Amino acid sequence: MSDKSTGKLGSSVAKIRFRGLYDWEGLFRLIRGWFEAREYDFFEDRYKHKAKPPGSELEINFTAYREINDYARNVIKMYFHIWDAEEVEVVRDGKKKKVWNARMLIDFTAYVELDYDNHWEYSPFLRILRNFYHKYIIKHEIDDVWTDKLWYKVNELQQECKRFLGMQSESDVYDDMW
Amino acid sequence: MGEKQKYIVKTLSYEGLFNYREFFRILDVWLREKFFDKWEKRNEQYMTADGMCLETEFTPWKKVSDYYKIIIKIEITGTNLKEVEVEVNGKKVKMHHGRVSVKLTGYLVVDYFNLWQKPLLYFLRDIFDKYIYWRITKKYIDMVLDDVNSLYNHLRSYLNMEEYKVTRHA
Repeated sequence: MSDKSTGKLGSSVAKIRFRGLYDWEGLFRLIRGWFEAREYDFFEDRYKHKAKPPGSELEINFTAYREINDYARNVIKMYFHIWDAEEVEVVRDGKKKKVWNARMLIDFTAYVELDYDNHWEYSPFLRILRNFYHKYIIKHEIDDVWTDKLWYKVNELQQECKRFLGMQSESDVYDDMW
Repeated sequence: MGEKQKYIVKTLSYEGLFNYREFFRILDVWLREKFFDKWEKRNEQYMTADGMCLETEFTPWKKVSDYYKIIIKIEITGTNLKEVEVEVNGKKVKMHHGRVSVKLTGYLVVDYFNLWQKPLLYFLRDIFDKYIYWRITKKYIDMVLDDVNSLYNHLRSYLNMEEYKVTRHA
């Protein structure tokens, strides 16, 4: 069995649930800008919009990749589930602005993908070599450097999102860990 | 993950004025100072007719050796939080008025690499932990108790919940 999943952080790194008013366009721009500033390739995998009488339901998936080196890359996945979304007009700083009133779930998943070009996938011998390489030669880099760094990068993004949404449970204490 | 052993549960609840953002921040600072890695498992915020409600669950962990790991589960619930403006030292400051309850649970995880999982190995491991390496196990159990108690006191002192005892002088 291939060992490409080594370095996975688990099914979900963080979850945010929020109900209230927020600027969806601004949040999208913030996330996009965060990834661009850190040289990630950003993809919008799915955008599902279902119009319903009390409010729309949306499901959105983003994936972002960034090469660590020729062999490993960071993968960050975000899943948005928005319910009862309706556009409302509010006055902020004396200006009228359209924002969303909705319930939202943001799920962050991240992992370090190894051998992402599948160079070591095509024969059993190469796969054995690859597993050996993961388990004994670069184990320290995977577990203590790449995964840990990615973990705190996702945490930073999570805090940015919370800050933008005006959530009270945000802090920048761990932002400079790496 | 290895075997998770629960050693201590502490709860506190407070109703009154406080700054939730600051409260959250001092918790984070304490965790970082004590070398805990942070995991914010759940974060919820919603508005109700009575005010804002917040629910947060953390499970920060600290690997103390390649066999023992400490986990503190922190559950914070804020209910009926309303933003109020108060005057502190002649300056107007925004604070929250409401109820907050915190539950801290301390765990010691043994054999977190799952190397001693087969029945015979599990038995041997337990004998070692309880009788041969007991002093080392005890050291880490005490560390869990100390960390939870220290965090508990830290949060209580932020909320000004220290008890004042009246001492009688003869």
